[in-house]
Amino acid sequence: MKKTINILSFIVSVNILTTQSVFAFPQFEKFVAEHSGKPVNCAMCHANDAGPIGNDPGQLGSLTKAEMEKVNLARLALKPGQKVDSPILNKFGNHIIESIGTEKFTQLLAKPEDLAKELGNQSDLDKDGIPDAQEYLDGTDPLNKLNGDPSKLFVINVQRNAWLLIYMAVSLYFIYFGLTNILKYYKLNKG
Amino acid sequence: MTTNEKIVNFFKDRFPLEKFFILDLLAHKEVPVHKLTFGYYTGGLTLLFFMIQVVTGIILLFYYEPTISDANLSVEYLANFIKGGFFIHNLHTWSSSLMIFFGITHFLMTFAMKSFEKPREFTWITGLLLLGITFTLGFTGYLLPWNQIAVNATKVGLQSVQSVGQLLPGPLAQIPKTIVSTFQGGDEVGQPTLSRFYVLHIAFLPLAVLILISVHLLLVQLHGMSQGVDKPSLKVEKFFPEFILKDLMAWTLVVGGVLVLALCLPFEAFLPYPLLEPFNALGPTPGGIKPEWYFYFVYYPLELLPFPVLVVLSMIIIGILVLSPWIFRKTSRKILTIIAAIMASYLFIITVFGQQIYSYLKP
Amino acid sequence: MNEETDNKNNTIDRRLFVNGIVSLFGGVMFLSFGTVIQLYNYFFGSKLSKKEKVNYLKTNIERMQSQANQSRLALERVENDYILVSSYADLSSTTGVYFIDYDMRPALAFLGDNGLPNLLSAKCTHLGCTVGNEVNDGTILCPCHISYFNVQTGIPNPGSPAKLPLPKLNWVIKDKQNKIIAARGADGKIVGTTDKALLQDTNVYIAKA
Repeated sequence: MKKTINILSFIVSVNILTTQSVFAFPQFEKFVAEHSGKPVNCAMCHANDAGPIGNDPGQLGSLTKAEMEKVNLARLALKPGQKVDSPILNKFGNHIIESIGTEKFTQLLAKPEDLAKELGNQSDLDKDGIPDAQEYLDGTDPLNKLNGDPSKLFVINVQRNAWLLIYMAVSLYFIYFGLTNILKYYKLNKG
Repeated sequence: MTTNEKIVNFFKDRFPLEKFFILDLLAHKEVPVHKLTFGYYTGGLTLLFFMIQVVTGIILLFYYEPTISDANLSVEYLANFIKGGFFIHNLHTWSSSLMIFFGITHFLMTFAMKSFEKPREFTWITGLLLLGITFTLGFTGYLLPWNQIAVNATKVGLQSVQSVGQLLPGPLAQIPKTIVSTFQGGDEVGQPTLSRFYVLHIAFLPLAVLILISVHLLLVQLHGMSQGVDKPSLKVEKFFPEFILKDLMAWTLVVGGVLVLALCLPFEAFLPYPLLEPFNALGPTPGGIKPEWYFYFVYYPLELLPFPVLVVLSMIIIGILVLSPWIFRKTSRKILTIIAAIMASYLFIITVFGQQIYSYLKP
Repeated sequence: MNEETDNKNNTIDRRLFVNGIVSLFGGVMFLSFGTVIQLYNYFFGSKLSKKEKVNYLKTNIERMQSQANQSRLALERVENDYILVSSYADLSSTTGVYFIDYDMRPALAFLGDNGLPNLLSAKCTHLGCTVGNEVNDGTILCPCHISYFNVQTGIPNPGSPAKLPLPKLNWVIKDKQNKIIAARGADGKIVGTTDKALLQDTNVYIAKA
């Protein structure tokens, strides 16, 4: 009984939110921009970089009935662990809903800094070595493996490419060593 | 006759290189040894990066598609799905920056060492042209991935050139506009612009570099190394093989460095991700549009100084640089070194601290 | 004695040279081998998984469609005398609606103070970036070089890098029967009705000059 009320109240609140055209959550965007000092936009979590409101692809106005159902299903995923595929969200946005649920998510509106903690460090959607939660805090794209905090990416890639780098260093050392010897030879022969 | 000599003679007969006078020059060419000797390496390093650019550039052409609908996706596809694609693309970007870095260093060293002195005036002028073309290569290549920063930076760049027209008298006023619309190919930056920038970047400009580099290098060989310091140093080393070996050693170290960068540090990681999204002609320009670092030295003055002042200033500076061999004919190298050091500090400060200076002056 | 040292030196010399050549050659071979191994597959494309292929093709279609849309917009502008900007009811004084003008340049539509449409070019008069559509303190911002423009007049704030105002665009309001009921003419003069009640169910257009 309590659950139904919960759902109902959530649907009502969602309806209020959508009619007021603030269903995008700028609280998170604002926090990330301030925390990371980098310009960010809605495309971190949404399908469209201008957010879900509007008539362009990936926005509510452009959705078919079937797609709209998917959006509503995602809105109803109150608890973590439900598979969602909302067309207004991108992979990261859907992942957030799947891992924490909409109930927790709406609670986090007041404390957007805690989203990273809730997400945990397990998931790394773009496999660049930096967890999604960390990329959220850094203001970098969790879905682009080429985008991330430069120093972190560098360290991770050095570890990943360690063998290649050693191979490269050895061959370059041979070249360098060879050149030094030839140079020595010519220097000795000059006199 | 030993087998060894037979083989050598076989090739000597087929390739009578001794008739080629450059080899003779090389055999006798000498490099002065003094405290600025490292300046002689900078040109070679620029050449090295040009060669890397040509090779990686050609390899990139296997996948790049110069249309505004596909350009961005083809670069993404290359980086994400092709083995080694990210590496080649990243190497191309890093090495473009390094080519410009060493080009500028070479320019500053040449200036400080008064290497433009008679009879090397044309070496100097071809060098300046090469530097200019290198910057243009950077500018045209920047547009090709067709993402937000690429297109918007190009718009700003072209519009800046066009704005010069307002300051020119009478019939001259139309010239910048004509130049811009020739390169832009339409009212707005669009498919014609991409096509034109593409052909400039992969054919026209590299060819120009090739021709100018040939002249530049020929002149360097003909005149030999300049003395570089006021009091000619008595110590010299042979260009071949000593200097060339050292040059190659420097190349080895630098290649090592750039390979590590290309493998481990995506050049794009320094940009905020909204700027890396495909260009959207119908949306607003995202914040944080800036040119590549090597344009900061004109970008920040452009932001801070009145435009006419900047245009006049840059005209004067370009004029002075072109006429340097004549203007500084009697200036000592000591003074030239000081001027070069001032230029270098300006470039360093504005490139590294430009943003801070800007936000301090314009809160 | 002398000869002996000479001989010894010669051997050392020769060893240096041979060592040098061998390791140089070896290093170059090593490096080329590594490069070939790493880049061999570059030239043979890649095999995408089904999911990757689906995503790739979807993105590809999306981008081509947005391109097709632009060509469609261009065609529309050549063919038609009026271009729909927005319905009157959708105009707001705080968030502008982007549209494309007859020169294929971005423009913005707001609701003006007088309750009538307020159409501005969105191409920054400084260096041509596209101006943002959010109104703050009565101004809209060009993010490229931080120029603030008064949304009512289009005039840039003093100190902005942009010196010229954003040009205002003329508009036409048509009712559901496609009848023109109000318009802003060439000299900025407004003709027709300004009664808000009458405007509610209408659409805003730009007209070919």
